[in-house]
Amino acid sequence: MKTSADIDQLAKFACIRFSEEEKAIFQQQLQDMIGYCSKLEAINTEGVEPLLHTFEQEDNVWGEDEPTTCDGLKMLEQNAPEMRDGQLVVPKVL
Amino acid sequence: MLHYEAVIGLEVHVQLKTRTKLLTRAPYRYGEEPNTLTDEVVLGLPGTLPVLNKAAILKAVQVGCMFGCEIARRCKWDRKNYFYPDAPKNYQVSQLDEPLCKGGFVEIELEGSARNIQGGHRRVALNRIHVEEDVGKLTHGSDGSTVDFNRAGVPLIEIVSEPDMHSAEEVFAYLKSLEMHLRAVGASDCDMEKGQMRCDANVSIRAMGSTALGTKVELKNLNSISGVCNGVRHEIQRQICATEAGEAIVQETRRWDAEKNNSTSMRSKESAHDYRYFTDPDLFPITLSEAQIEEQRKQVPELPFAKQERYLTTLHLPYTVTSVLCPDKRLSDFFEATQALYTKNPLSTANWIANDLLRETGNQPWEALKLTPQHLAELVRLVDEGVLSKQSAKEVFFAAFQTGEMPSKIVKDKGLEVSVDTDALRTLCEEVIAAFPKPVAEYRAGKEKALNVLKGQLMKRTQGKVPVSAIEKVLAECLKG
Amino acid sequence: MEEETLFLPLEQLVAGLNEKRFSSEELTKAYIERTKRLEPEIKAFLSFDEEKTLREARASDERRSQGRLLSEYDGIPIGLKDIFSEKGQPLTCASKMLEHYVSPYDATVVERLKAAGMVLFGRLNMDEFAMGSSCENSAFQMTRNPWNTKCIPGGSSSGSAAAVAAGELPLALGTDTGGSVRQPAALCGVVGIKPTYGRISRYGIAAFGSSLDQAGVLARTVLGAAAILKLLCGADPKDATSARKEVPDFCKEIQNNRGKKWTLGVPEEYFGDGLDPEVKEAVLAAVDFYKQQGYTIKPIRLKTLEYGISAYYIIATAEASSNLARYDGVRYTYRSPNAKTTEEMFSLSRSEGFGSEVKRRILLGLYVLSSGEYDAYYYDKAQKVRRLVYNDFAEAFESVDAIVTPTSPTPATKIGAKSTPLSVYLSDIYTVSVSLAGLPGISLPCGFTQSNLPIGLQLIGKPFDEGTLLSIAEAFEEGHDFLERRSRV
Repeated sequence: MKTSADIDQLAKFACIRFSEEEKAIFQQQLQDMIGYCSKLEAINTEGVEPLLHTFEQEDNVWGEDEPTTCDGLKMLEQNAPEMRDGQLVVPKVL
Repeated sequence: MLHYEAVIGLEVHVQLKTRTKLLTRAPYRYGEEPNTLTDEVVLGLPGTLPVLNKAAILKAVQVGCMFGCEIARRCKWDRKNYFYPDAPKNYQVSQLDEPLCKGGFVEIELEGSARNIQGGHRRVALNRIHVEEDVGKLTHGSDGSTVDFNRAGVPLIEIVSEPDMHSAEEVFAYLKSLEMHLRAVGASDCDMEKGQMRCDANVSIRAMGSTALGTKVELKNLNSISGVCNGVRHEIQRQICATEAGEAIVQETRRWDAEKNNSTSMRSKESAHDYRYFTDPDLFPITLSEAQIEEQRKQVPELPFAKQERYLTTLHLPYTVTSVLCPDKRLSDFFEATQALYTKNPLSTANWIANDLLRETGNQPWEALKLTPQHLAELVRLVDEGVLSKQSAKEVFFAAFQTGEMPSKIVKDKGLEVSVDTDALRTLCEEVIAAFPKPVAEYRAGKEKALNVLKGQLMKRTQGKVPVSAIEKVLAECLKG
Repeated sequence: MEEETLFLPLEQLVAGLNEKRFSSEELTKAYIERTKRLEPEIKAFLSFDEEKTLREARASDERRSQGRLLSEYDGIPIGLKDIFSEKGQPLTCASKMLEHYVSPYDATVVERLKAAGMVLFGRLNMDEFAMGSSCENSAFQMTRNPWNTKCIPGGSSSGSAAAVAAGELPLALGTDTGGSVRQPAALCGVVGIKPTYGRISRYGIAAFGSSLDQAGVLARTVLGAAAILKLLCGADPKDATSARKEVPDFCKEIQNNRGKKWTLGVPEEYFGDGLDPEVKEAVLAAVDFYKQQGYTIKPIRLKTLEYGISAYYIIATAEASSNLARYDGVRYTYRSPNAKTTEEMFSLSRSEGFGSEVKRRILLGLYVLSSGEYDAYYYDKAQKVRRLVYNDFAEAFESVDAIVTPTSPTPATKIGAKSTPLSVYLSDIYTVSVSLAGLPGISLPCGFTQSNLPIGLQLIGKPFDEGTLLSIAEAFEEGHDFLERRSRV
C-alpha cells in the first residue's frame, strides 16, 4: 500500500476543509493507520473471491412496479434549511 | 492536403417508462409540482435503503434483446461517488464493470438520394447498456439555485455505442433509430425536451485510412437531436481546423451552446479515481435465468425496419408512406388495427393515417383520440364501395375525428350518400366519348389504359362527386352500346 | 415502587404487569424518576420526550384493561440508540450535523417495537455516527460508566449499555458494526447480542458500514435479550439485504436446549499478547465452568485474527465515506451559515458539522477507495481477506457449536486514557472478525476486576443459529449471580 496519503486530494473528495494544523495531524494519523493496514498486502489472496455479503439471498430481491403514496415534500419541508415554492434553495452553483 | 475521418461514439441516457423509481416505489410522472414525487429514499434521509424495481430491470433486458446484446446472467450494482446538489445521496447507483447488456448493435438508415427513395442501412455497434438512477433537477437563479428531486431516482439506461459513427448525418440517423426502437418496445417516450433522452458525444478525428483513434473530446449539453448533430458537426470542424493549424487536440469536456452555435471547454480529463466506484453493499446482485431473458425476448414486437420491409414488399406501400408510419409506433399500430378490420385497400388506409390523421392529431395527446381504427376501416370501405365520394370522405373523416361518431352514421345524418343520376351520367359519358374519339378507338383496339383519359374527364366534369365505380359502370355500358 | 423492581429480568417485569402489581405507567414513571436522578452523573440520554413516553405507557394500560394487548411485552419500556429513526423524534447520531433533524418516518425495528406495544423511552448517546468505542466521539456529551464514572462506558452504543447497567431502563437497542453492542455491554456489565448479518432490517438505521451494520439488543438477562431479538428479526421488503429466512422462537429454543452439553471452541489467538490478565483469568474461568458442566472444550485456531482490524477498518471506512456523503448541508442537515456557494455549502457544513473521528474515517475510507491499481483496489483486497476470515470461522464451526473469547482485551479504561486513534482501533480486535464474518455474537458478564469493573465473555455462534448461542449464554448466566451485583451509581 502506498504509504503517503495526499491529504489535499482526500479533503477534496471528502468535501471537508482542513486547516494546515489539522492536515498535519490527520496526515500523521492516516499514515499510522495505512501503515498498519498494509500488512494485508502480505496475505496471498490469489483466487479468493471478495466477500461482500456473508449470506446469499435465494431469489432476486426486487419490488413490483406499484407506486406507493409518498409525502417527501412534507418530509423535506420539515427539515430543509431553506425552501421556496416547493423547491429546495441552495447557494448558487459555480 | 490530408483528408480526415471523424470518429464518433455516443452515450445516450434514456429514462425508462416505469411507474415507480429504480430504487423505491415513489411514483414518477413528468411535469408534477416540485418535490411531490419524493419519499425518504429519494431524499436520501438517514437510514433509507434501496430496493430495485423489477420492471425497470426487465425492461432494460428487453431493450438489450432488441439490440442483439448479450444479457448478463448476473449483474451487480456500484456506487459512483461525487458531490452535487442534485444527487441526494451524493452517489449514484450505477453499473461499472458488470453491465446488464453487452455488445449488440443499432440498425440505422442513412439518407437516401431523394426524399422518396430509401437510403442504405448499416449497423452501429454498441459497447454496452447499463442501468442507473437519474438525479434531480437544478434550476439556476440570480441569487441561488433551486432543486427539485422529482426526477431523482428515475430509472435510466445508458446506451453506450462504440466509436462507430463518422458523420453528423450518421449521428442523426442513429438517434432517430434509437428513438423509434425504444418507443417500439415502450421502453421510453424519448422526448429530449422533457429530458427523457439525453446525449453526450465523444468526437475525434484521424487521417483518412488510419485505424488509430485520435484524442477524443466529450461534448455535453446537447439538448435536442439537431443540437447533437450541430454540436458534432461543429466539433469535427473545430478539430480539423486545429489540426490543420498544427495545434494538438486536448482531451477535455466541452459544453455545447446551441444558441451561439459554439462550444466552450468545461474541464480537462477527469483524473482516475474521481468517482471512487465500489460495489453497493445495500444491494445483492441480480441473477437472470435463461427463461426470464427468453420471456423478455419474446415480448420484443416486430421492429420498425422489419415492419417497413413488410409494408414495402407485401403490402406494396410506397416508401414515403412507410417512412412516416413505421418509425411511429402509434401510427403503425393504428394502421395494423385498421388493416385487421378491412384489408382491401392498404394504400388508402395508410394515406389517411400518414396524412390526415397525423396532421389533425398534431400535439394532442394520442389517448384523447376519438377516431378509432373502426372508424377509419368503415370510412375506407364506404369509399371503396361507392357509397361515399372521395371529396365527401374528407368531410366525414373530420366529423368522425371530432365527434367520434361512426362514418356510416355521419353519412346518413348529413345525407352524403352518393346518389348517382344515371341518366345525367349517361349523357355526360356520351359527350366525352364523342369528344375523345382517339382514346375510344384505342380502347376498342384492346388498349385498356386508354380509358383513363375518359375517366379523368368524367371525374372532372362530375367534380369528384360521383364515385369512380359508378363512372366505370356507366362508361362501360355506353361504350358497349 | 421499589427500586429493586427496576432491576428485575424482563420476564418478571412482564409478570408484574400481568399480575397487576404495577401498571405500565407506574413502571415507566419509576424508570423516569430513576433516570432523572442518575442522568446528571451517567449522561446516557441525548433527548427524552417524557410526555410521549408516558402517553405510550398509558395507551398500553388502556389496551391491557380492554384485553387487547399487542404482545407479551406490551407496556415494557425500551430505549433507542440515537441512530434509529423514530417518526417525530430527533435523530442526531450524536452529531452536530443532525442536531436539529427530526425523523419523518419509522425504522422497521421501531415499527416492530411499536407493533408490540413497547414504550419507546428516550434517545441514547453514542459515538458520533457509531464511530468509536468509548463515547468520547459524541458531539454532545460523555456518557459515564455506571461502575466507575471516571471510566468509559464503551461504545458506540454507549448510552444504551450505560442506561441498562444503571437501571435507568430494562432494555435498549444498539447497533453493532465492529463490536458496538458487545463491547459496551462488556464494559458496563450487561448482556449485548448482535445477531447474524441480515437478521434485522437496517431500514431506518443511519448507516455506517452497510455490509457490517446490525442492530442488537442490550438487556439485563439473556432471556430478555432473546425475547426482544425475536421481535426484531425477520425479512423486511424495504431492506434488500435482510435475510428471507425463518426466525425461530429464541426463548423456546433456550428452554428446549436446557441441559444440553455443547462443544465450545477456544481459539488460542484470542488469549495472546495484549489481553489484560484479569480479563484472561475471568474468561478462562468461564471456559472452566462450561467444562465442569460437561461441555466439550476444544482448542481451535483462528489464524486470521491479526488481519481483522485492517480488513475491518478498510471495509467499514470505505462504506462510511460513501454513506456519510449525504450529510452535506443541502436537504436536512446542518448548513453552515457562512456558505455562499454550493462548494462552501458542502465543505463548510461538513467541516463544521462532523467531529474529528468521523473526518478521520472518511479520509481513510476515501484513501482506500482511491488508491491502488484501480478504484476500490484496497476495498477489494480487504473483501478477499474478509472471505478468508469467514472461511476460518466456517472451518472452526465444523467441529464446534460456539466459540468462546473475551469481548474486549481490557475492562473499561479511564476517559482519555487512549492517546492515538490506532490504539483505540486495536481494542476492537476480538469483535471485528465476528462482524466481518457476519456471525452472531453475544457478550455477557463473566466476572469483575479487583477495582470492580465488569468483564465480558464473548460467545460466537454459527450463522443464523442465534438459538444455540443464546442457549449456551443462558447456561452460563444460570450458573452465576452477576445479576445481583449493582453498579456503583
